[in-house]
Amino acid sequence: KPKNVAKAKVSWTNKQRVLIFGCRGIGFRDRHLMDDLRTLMPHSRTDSKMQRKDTLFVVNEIAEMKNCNKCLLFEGRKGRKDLYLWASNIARGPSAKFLVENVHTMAELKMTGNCLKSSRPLLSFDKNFDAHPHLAVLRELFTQIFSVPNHHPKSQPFFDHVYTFTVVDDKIWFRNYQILTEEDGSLAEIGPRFVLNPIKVFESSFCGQTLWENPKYVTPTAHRSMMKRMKAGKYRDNVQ
Amino acid sequence: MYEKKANRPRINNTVGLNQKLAELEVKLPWIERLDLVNKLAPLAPELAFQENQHLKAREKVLKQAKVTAGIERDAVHNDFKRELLFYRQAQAAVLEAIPRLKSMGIKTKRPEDYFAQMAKTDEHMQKIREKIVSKQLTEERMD
Repeated sequence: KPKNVAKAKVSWTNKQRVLIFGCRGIGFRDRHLMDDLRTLMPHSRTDSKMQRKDTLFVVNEIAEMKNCNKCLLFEGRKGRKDLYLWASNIARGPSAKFLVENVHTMAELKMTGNCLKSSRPLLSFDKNFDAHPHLAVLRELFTQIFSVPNHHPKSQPFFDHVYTFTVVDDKIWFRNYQILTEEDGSLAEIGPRFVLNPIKVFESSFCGQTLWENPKYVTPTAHRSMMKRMKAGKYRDNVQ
Repeated sequence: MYEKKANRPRINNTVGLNQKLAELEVKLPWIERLDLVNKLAPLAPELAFQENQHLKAREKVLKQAKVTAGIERDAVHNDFKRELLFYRQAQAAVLEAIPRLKSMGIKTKRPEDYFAQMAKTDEHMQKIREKIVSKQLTEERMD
């Protein structure tokens, strides 16, 4: 009998599985970002690209077929210029949509750190996540998605990297650092890096009532046209 | 038309959000989640030195370019300061979590003779090393 107890102790109970995949029409850097996440997350599954004509609601069925209860879906728009990310708790929700900005992948040579392929990351959030209800929801969602389950068969039993989620300018900044020395906490960045600009939080998975929307969100197209107008103004002043 | 849209009242259903959060939460011991809420770690002297060096270098560049906006509005220096913020947050996480894991009797460090597949390949790491060396060489030549 004691043998069974020991076995139960190391059993893998937290069966989170994350489906990571993209729609057609995402750029090369975005695809690399997606692959980086797949490398770092042994509890992820993939699927072939989604057809654009499919409605997003189909994702729920795909995830269920793949036995996944979480999903990260990348969506490219405007000729691969803009990247959107959906993070969702399948079936029951909530889900959230982000605009992804400032993408840097693990392949960049300026990121000098390295870690085991599937070791479990520490997740660090800053205090701001407690200040707003929508950020508290996102924090829980990110924790369940990015945390590698304990004793996952493909995971490594050592701790050599940290993810940080920080809210600056109402956006969520993601970083991944290698732990160089445990005693003084010196680090080296591994990558990838990205900034998530939250757009909306929905009640259900890829559908349902909107629970929160970002008052400061400007679509990238509106932003570009604003920049263009500002530039145009510069020359108009020259003529007068 | 765009301004009109911006004035529309925005949804912030806090009751719904809190309800959803309660629904989403799974009661699991910390070891399953490894999540932390951190303040920043104290600024280490070598980091403060690095920041100061960067500030001086940027001021010099701005002076040469005859930019009068001041260092507070310099995007490059602000980027550097922001990265430092993230770094210190991660540091605080390490300094909190590693002792916590150790107190639970869990090994944290990978033994020297333990080999497993890494996130980046050896080839890639070699490239990174070459880049660092070549950067150092050019810096030496500049001096």
